[in-house]
Amino acid sequence: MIDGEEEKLIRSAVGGDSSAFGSLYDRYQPAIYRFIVVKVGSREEAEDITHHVFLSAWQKVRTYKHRGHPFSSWLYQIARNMVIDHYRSKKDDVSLDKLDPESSIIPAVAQSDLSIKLQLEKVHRAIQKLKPDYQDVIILRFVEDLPLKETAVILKKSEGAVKLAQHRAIMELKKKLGDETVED
Amino acid sequence: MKLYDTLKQFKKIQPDAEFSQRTRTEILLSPQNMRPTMRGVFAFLHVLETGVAVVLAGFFILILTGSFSPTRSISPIQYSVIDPQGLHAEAQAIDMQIQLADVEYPQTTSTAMTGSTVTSTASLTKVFAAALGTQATSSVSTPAATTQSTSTASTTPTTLTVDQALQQLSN
Repeated sequence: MIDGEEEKLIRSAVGGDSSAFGSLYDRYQPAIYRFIVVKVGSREEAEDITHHVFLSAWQKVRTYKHRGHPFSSWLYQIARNMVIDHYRSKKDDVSLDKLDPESSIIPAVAQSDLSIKLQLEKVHRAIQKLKPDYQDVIILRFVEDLPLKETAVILKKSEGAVKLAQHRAIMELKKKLGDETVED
Repeated sequence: MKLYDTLKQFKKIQPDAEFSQRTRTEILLSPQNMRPTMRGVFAFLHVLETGVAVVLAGFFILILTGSFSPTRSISPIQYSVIDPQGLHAEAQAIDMQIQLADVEYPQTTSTAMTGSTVTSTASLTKVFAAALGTQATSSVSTPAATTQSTSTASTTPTTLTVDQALQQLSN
């Protein structure tokens, strides 16, 4: 749900207030970055795409039409399109084998525990093997804990379609991981 | 660890603080694409679009409710001016003209009558009545005409052509 403060910030940002847009940036940049980095699997590329997402949002914010959805829905939609463009332009460079091991996306807190780190890396690799739509649904629903309604807005699907997609995505993810490695 | 808990661990991923600060500053210092003049144009187009939509919607509602009749409002013919009785009378007159035109047929075919002389209007009346049928009979056998014809017949016999006879009948 969108709160009164956010609505005020959005209105000011649409009017061209850079400090209001800066507040929205602070609020949503970490989530947008996470969404991108889990999908592309590289910190550098994720930083680059995140920068372009917010730059594009800032340049187009005057045309933003508030329809009662959180501002983040619009940012996620831009991010999705940018990731698609990224895959199109760098089709040959997205192989997991080419990823720099030093550029791991695994959070610093999990680096100390080797078993957790390995498990996170395994799940991440499995996520990256999923279809883009399934990746989106898993990140939005199970990583970011977004409500079904907002996820449906971001993915431009009905809530029923999102439910179905999330069920299939989890099934597919479990299949990729293998039953013996990760319990449910 | 369960799958859902593992997925929750990804929420701990945070962007580099230095990167976040640097890119924030760069973005906010960059100019926006939408200039005020362009915004004005877009706003005007938006208003125009809305206005056209409202007018069209109103027009269709009028048509649907039946209060607007295109034939009544757009047609150049004013139906209220037309007088049905006048039309009827005019139609009757046209009908009469056709019947009178038909009269010429026996007139031209009966060469004997045009070539010869008619001794009296009474005999002409008979011929003419035969040609016109009942209509001619009724018109010829008006009291005035009958009187005239009898009076003419009783006096001097005159020589008349068919045209002259018709002239007299019409008088």
